[in-house]
Amino acid sequence: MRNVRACTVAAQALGLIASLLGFGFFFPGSAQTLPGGARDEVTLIRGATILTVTRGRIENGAILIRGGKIAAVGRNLEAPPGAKVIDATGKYIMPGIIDCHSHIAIDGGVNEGTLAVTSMVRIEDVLDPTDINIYRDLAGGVTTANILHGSANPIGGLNAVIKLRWGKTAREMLFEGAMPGIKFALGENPKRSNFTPPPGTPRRYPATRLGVESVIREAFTQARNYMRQWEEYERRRKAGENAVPPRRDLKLDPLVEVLQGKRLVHAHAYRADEILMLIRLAEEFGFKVATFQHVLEGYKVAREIAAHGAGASTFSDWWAYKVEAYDAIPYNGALMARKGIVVSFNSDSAELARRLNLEAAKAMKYGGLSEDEALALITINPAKQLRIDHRVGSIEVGKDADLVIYSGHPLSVYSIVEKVFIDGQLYFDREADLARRAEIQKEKEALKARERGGERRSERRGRPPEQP
Amino acid sequence: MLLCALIFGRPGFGQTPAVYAIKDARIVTVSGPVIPKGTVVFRDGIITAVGENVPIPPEARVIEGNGLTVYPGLFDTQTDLGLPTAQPGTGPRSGAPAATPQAQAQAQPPPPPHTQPEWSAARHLQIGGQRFESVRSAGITNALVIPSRGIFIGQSALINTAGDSPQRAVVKSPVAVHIGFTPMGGGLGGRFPGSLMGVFAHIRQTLLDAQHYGQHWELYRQNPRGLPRPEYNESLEALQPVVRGELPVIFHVNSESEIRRAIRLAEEFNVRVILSGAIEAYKAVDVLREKRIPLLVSVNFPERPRDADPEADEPLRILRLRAEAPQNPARLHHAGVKFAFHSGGLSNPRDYLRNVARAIQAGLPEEVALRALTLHAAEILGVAEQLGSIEVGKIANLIIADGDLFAERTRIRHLFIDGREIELRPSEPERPSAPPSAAAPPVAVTGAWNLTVESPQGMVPVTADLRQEGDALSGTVTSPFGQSNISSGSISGHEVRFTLSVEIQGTPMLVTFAGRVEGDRMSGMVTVEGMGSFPFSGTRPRG
Repeated sequence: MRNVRACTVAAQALGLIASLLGFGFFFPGSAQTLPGGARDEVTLIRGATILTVTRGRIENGAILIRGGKIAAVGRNLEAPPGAKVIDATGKYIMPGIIDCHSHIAIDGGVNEGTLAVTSMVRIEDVLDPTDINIYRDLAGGVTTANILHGSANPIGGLNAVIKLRWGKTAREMLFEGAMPGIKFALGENPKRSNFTPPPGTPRRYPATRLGVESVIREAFTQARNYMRQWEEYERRRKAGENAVPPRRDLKLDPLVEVLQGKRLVHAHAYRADEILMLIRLAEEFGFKVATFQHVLEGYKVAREIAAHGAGASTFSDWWAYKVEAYDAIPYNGALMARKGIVVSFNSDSAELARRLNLEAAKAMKYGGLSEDEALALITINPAKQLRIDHRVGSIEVGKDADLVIYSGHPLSVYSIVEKVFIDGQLYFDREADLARRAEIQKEKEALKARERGGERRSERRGRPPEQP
Repeated sequence: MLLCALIFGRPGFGQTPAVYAIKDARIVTVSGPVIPKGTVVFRDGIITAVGENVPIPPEARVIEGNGLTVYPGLFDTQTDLGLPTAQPGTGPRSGAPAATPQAQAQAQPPPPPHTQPEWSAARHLQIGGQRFESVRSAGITNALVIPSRGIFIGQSALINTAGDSPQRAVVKSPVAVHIGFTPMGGGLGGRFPGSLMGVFAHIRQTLLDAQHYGQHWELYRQNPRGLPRPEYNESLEALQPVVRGELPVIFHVNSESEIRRAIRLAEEFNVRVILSGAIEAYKAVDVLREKRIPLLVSVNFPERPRDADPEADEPLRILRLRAEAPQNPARLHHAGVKFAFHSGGLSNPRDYLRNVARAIQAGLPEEVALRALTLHAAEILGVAEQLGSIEVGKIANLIIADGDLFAERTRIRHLFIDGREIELRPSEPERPSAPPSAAAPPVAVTGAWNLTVESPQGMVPVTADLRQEGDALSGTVTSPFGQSNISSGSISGHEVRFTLSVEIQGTPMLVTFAGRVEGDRMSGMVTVEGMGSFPFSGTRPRG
């Protein structure tokens, strides 16, 4: 293990903020109490305008859901006997939103900021299925999220792609079969130009963009050597020689997978020069960057990004929060899309994730994308970037029934999410949510009153309650 | 052995009769039916007869048990009783970030243990003192001791609470290697792992390293020719019985997520697993039952913080947890999950049984609660052949109470550990009886004492310059908050008590030290007005 020590205050502050957000006030609702259903349940949603994203729009259409999958989409679908029928007349249905950059539902810190290379840490290990942001984002129509490690390190931790199956366990939220990924980060965050270490704390390497590149290069050089050690061991073992296997190195295993094309690199990057740097470095080592994240100067090097084959996951108009985020334009997403890059809009924020539909809408105003192209930014395109487009991202027969019913057109500020389905099951229902609020308030008051009563009793006994 | 008794035993231990009979008592054997009126005989620390019509040996010292109930001694299956207040993890081995010697000398709380599976609680025991007495007074005769925080914390020991010597105290060691999920580094220093996911990576890599270490040595032992010689590593060596599945791992977990994560980690490495804490285990009964994972369940139920903002809008999840936590044991029992109890860091040992009584109120059958305090604990910790019930051949760790164990008014009248009667302290401050040590020679308290207070914010060093005049005590106390004169102080037998006023952040606060002096050692509780009570302990260096 490399002996790199560094200031972690910034990373911990990020973690703290994340955990503070995670334990905000309670927001009612739980899938367990909603009318869910068995996996073989059949549901017909009819009367809605269906925005398939990939197959155009169907007025007054219907969707048949069977066993959690979309069984049929069309204008004249009959409800099979025993099917549950949901009347969505006048409403709009779109595929569940996919957020390609999220930090919700992480327990105990978003960053492992102590080292420059932390490919040994896994978001999957610390998913918090009780994080209320899961429910809040679900209420904004998000059904799938790419949960990423923070950007404190040139090479960060392993991601987890989840479906927002609120009420289920962490394991049950994992997107089955999603291709694994890893977070990289370039620029100001990993070189720590925005953070001052506390006095007496040694500064962590790297401190410059040059250093960031060198850390990544060194890590892949180690990974290549490690791969060769294993090959050599296998050769000797097969030859019947007395040999000791190399030590499994959890830091290098994922980097070997990157070299073998089995793991996606999601690289946080802002400036054009460092985007080019990582493309060149990746091509030198023979791997591909799956997505550049943020990529606010992507429009300057869109041709190069397209030629490399990377996707771009950016913001609509969120910038100027640090020096490397100044040279941004609202046309970035549209310009990159026009150069043939698969572009998505992400949230990087539990709050923004609740209205990604409006972020997509901005790409019509700035850059003139079509309605379908705008919707693709938050559905099929992030699905492609995460290599899950065979399962989600559009309304097509055979895909997962991850659907959002809006009160009006989802690209309008006046529309609100009414129902959200994941795998054909209802996970958010605005009506049920509103109905339960009074009940929940009552339960809270009752619990509080009980505690106050208990305290008075224990005071009478002269025994202070213990703190855990 | 005689020497041992002379040094460590109370006066007269060597002469106490080794044969006892408790007659005409109600006997709750735990392993068998309750005997409404019977006799227990034990000799040299071992139970030799239990039953309704048991002959009493003529040499036995007889205890009239009429109206009394005999129970097996209780277990507390996780506590830091008897462990040094400076927890493991200090010293250069733990690789703490470079700090000046002065900074280290400051009373910063030592970092929690990082990677020291070789650390053995049995080798660091500090037996005796007031805390042992109050633990015994609560009926606890056996304790699994280990620090609560850290990652690879070390190896726990099962001790008895007789309090005479480490040699006599240890019943079993090691019981398990304990693993916690405490990130290192805190706000400063930046030591890996600084996040929870880093902790997981570190545990996983260390267990992989242990497997590799074992494999390398195994290959080397079979045929060293042509192989690189493996390096000896104390920590990886200590983990060999763990990765071979011979020694269990006890994971310190509380929430449902923590429980599920720990189980997955255990499965990944195929280690024998016990979970400790497990406050939210009732939410994970599916997996606990399916995998048959034994639990050591804390009864330190979460409470509303005493200084909580009355207007705070707490999440329903938190409110529910506080209401449901006492139901945890009952729900586990009804789901068929096996568990034992532990005190979970409750500061007053008397609250241990009180909180178990709350679990009973919440639906746990009394006999199951008793098992969780005795036989189930012994089974889970692998000592059921010698402890946990009143059976012939088992160790005579017994408590004799004047009523039902879980009733608030019940008092423990006699307590035996290894068949020796242990003198009990007066049960409650509000029920004073004759001072137990009235006959003891007065202790000499005068001198300079170096004390450490375990506050929630960490270890606070305190020096006390004490002057004894008859049974009055005066002097000065110096702490990071400054120096104060003792306003009142007294000595009674081994008990000392002194009060002073300390200015903390501009507010004068009354601080009272109440402790017990044994030679040059002092330990007890310090009460800070409005803040609570914290343990303290220390020594008087001989100059």
